[in-house]
Amino acid sequence: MNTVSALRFNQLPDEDLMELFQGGYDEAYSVIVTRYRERIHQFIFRYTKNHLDSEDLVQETFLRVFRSRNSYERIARFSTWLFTIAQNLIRNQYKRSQRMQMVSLSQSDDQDQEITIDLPDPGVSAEEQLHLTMTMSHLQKSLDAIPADFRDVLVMRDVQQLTYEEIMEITHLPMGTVKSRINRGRARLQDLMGTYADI
Amino acid sequence: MLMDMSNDQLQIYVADYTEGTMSSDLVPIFEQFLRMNPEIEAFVASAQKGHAWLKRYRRDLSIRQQAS
Repeated sequence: MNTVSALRFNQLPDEDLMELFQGGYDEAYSVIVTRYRERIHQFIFRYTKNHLDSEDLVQETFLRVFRSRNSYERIARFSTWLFTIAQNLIRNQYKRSQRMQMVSLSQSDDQDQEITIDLPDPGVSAEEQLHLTMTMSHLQKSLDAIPADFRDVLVMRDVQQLTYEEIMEITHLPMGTVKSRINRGRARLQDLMGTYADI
Repeated sequence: MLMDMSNDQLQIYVADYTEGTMSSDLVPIFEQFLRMNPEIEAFVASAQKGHAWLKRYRRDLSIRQQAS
């Protein structure tokens, strides 16, 4: 197995990589980290809205994968297992701090400095950009106003683009309930965005 | 057929229709069902718009992350 090249590792599915990692091939772990680092960062950032906090949790997530590698069983998709670890860490952090908030798009990572949404299109006027910024701020607030049971699955599906199977495994909810919550969450979001009719 | 479905099945259809993943042979039947049930039709329309908002949200979140 030592002859397995890095290129070959890159071509393997997650579950095979985990088996190799469990068998002592640390290169497989490196491939997993490279493959998922950005997605996990995005997933966590959605909750923390802070890159430093997100990066800490990303590192903790992969540290737990490293330490708990032998507890992974192939009956679950690796991605589901990984996102569940990240989700649990987010919840634990929230419980500890009780101060984690969904920060408005108008706030920056360090919470003191105004952030500018970088719009690369030079054809967008200042007025249009202001409208866009206000719309996005309202969208963020509306999303935050949706009850957590609905918002969590909505974010998993429409922001993180997890599959329904992954969401079912993370939430331990049946398909009908997951889709019901997502449908209701979407409809609720539209209700809250009612005055912003133009998409 | 659709008149007898459970709420869970309806929610599954609504999600599939909203995301455009419903099988093409079922779409006209479902749309006929919606026309006969205006409340559900309105709910589906809201869900579709909410879904579109979140697509936009995802795009802007991605722009923010690239800019930071």
